[in-house]
Amino acid sequence: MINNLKELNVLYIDDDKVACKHMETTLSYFFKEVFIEHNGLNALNTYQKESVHLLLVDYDMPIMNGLSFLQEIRKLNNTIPAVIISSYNDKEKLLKAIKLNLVAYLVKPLEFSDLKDVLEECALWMDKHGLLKVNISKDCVYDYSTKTIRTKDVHVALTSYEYKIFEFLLTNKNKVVTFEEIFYILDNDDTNKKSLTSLVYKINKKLSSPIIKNIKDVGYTIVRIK
Amino acid sequence: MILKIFLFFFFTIFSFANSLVIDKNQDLHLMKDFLIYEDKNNLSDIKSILEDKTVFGKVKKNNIGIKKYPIWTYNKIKNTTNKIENLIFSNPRSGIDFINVYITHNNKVLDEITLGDMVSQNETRFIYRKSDFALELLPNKEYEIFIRYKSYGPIDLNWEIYNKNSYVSYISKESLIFGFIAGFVVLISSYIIFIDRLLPSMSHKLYFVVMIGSLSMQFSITGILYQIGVPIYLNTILSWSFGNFAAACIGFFPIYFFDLKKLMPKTTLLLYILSFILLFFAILFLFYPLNYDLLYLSTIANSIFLVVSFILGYVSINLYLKKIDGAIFYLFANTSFTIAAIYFSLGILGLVKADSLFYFSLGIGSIFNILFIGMLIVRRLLRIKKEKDDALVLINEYSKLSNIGQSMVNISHQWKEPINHIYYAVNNIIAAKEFKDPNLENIIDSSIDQIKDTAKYMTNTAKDFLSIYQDKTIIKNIEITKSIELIIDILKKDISQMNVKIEINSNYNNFILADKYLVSNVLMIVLENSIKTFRNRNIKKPRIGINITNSEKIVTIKIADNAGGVKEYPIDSIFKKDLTNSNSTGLGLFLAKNILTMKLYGDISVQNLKEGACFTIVLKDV
Repeated sequence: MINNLKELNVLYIDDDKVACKHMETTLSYFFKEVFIEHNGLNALNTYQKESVHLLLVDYDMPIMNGLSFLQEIRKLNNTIPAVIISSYNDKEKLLKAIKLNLVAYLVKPLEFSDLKDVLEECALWMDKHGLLKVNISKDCVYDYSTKTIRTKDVHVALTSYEYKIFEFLLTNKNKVVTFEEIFYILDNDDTNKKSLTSLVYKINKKLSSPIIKNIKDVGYTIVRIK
Repeated sequence: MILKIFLFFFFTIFSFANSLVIDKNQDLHLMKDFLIYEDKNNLSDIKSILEDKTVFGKVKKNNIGIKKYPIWTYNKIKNTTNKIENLIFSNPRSGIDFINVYITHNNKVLDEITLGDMVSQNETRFIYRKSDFALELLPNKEYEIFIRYKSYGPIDLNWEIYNKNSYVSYISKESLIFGFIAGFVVLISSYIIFIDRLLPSMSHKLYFVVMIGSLSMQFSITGILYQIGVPIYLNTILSWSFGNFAAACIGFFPIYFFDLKKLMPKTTLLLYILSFILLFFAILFLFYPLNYDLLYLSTIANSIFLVVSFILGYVSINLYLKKIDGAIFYLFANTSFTIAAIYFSLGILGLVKADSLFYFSLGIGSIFNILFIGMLIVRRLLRIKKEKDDALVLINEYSKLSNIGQSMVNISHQWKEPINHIYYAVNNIIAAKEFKDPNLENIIDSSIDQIKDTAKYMTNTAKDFLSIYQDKTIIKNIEITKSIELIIDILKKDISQMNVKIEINSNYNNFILADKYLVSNVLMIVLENSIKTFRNRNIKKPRIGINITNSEKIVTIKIADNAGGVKEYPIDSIFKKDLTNSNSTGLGLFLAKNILTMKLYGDISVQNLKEGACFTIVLKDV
């Protein structure tokens, strides 16, 4: 299961720069891309900009600590797997963390085998929450790890712009996503409304049924998935 | 003793008739041989008495106790010598309230003398504590003496007869004894006040009241206060009210001193009740002018006090058997006092002879009581001092242990991060190996370098810490600014993590001659306390301001933070041992205070400023 992570990106947040340097290397064996941040506030920015699938967060950090960061994240996304790492085996901190729906609460110093176990759990979690694969319709599945749409006999890969938009819409599947939000995650000055329309059109075409719906003058939404 | 044998001698010689014969010049006679008439209806006066002397009957005992009606006595005295005898008659029972003496010859009243405790000094001829009168006996002449007694206290029919010279020497000896007793009690009283100021305790206050109360009662009973002209009301309440007040306090004393409630709960309750009754009587007697008959209630009060004495005897034996510290002194105190009190009470109830032993019994008992209880209190003080000395030794040991503990806590805290780093580096190698990273060699090399650096860092922090908590005394000239900088360096991880701004304001040469390690230790505790508080209270922009001022041989360090201040009340309680909150190691500030006051000749205090607490540390040259 842990191999499924290979196509996904992780965001590691820790104010300890030496730790970050090592973790970047260690995590790179498991993930496609490793994003590093040193405090919660910057991490929040990165989370919104990049395609992040998993969060590893240190508890004690300046400016915005791990707890506040994850509280913010949970407002945006209730299913993304998150792990808190803390130097203290502190009951109070643990209790606060319970509300955050975490995969695990790791205590420093971190052993490699523990890290591996937790990543395995994360993969299981993602599978359970349909984060690795999403059933779009009866015979159509989107695979997060390979960024492909699979029907009975065809596998169609999405381009980077396409999957960014599509995954963003999937994450926010119960609400309308505005154009601005999409422009923001694409982080591309060239994108305008027109090219966005054509991107959405292409995605819909790749899917067996067009499930992305245009809400006039506002943005897009995904038609209810069964 | 000689006096007693002497008295006994006279008692036996003259016990056969109601006539006292003065046949030669003697120092002392005893007028004991008289007839008695109990005027139960209070109808007789001297006229009716002279008309009918047959009402007088034989005397059963001289100390007739408390009677509600007047008593008359009748006897004769004859001078068989050839010269005029000047004699002084003295009733040793000074507390009799009204005495009328009629000297008659051939059924004619020659003289009438008014005496007694409740008779104002203007009406009596002798201003002396006892009821005394002088009589001039002409040669070969016989006189009849009729005496009417009326008193709320016990009545004693004895009269000692002195010639003038021996009387004067007796009085001066007596005043010496009373002076001595008064001085003794005043001395101990002032001593106990002093002790109570240092070590406030209910039992000290009770002891004080007991002393003053029994002293005033003694002086009132023996007539000293009457003699020096204390107003009659005051004189009366001093013996009746103050005596009972002291008695109540005697009952209360062990309850407080020995914490009797825990040891003997039932006896304590009984003592409480009886002592409160005595207290009630004490208050009641203040109002005796409303109804003089109230004073007759003293029989009840005396009986209760007798019971209290027995209970105290029982208590002291019990305490002694329970091996309570100092109980032996209390046993002595009570035994002596109980014996005296029993003897006195029996005397008051008219059950024993009212001799001089009776008059002094309470006084002697009180003195022994006061003496032994004084020893008890001194013993308790010595024990407290010993406990304090022991505690001091304990604190020293404690501080050593705590220093070790504190340094362990700090070192492990400081090591947390480097240990993590080592783990991360190792993890990195393991991961690279597992995933067969082509760069494995490079990763191992760089990780090893990093592990080496980290280990070196760990060694250094441990050294820094141990240097601060060293258990040896090195007294030298230290610069406070340098010491503070060292502490800040040691705590830099916390300081930078929490972004604490520290500002030091000081003179150039703030040197002080002191133990370097202890000073660092104290500074460390105070700074750590601020940092801990920042963390616990989640202070947004933590700041610490340090202000060092010095004058000759004194350095004052003020450390102020903006952590919101000390919430404990009273504010000084943060220096106490028992104040531990979950986030501290507990002994920190207590230790700082102790190190400063006991080892550095300094002190620490705290006050709340606008934004937070300000600790003031004063250091003096050793």
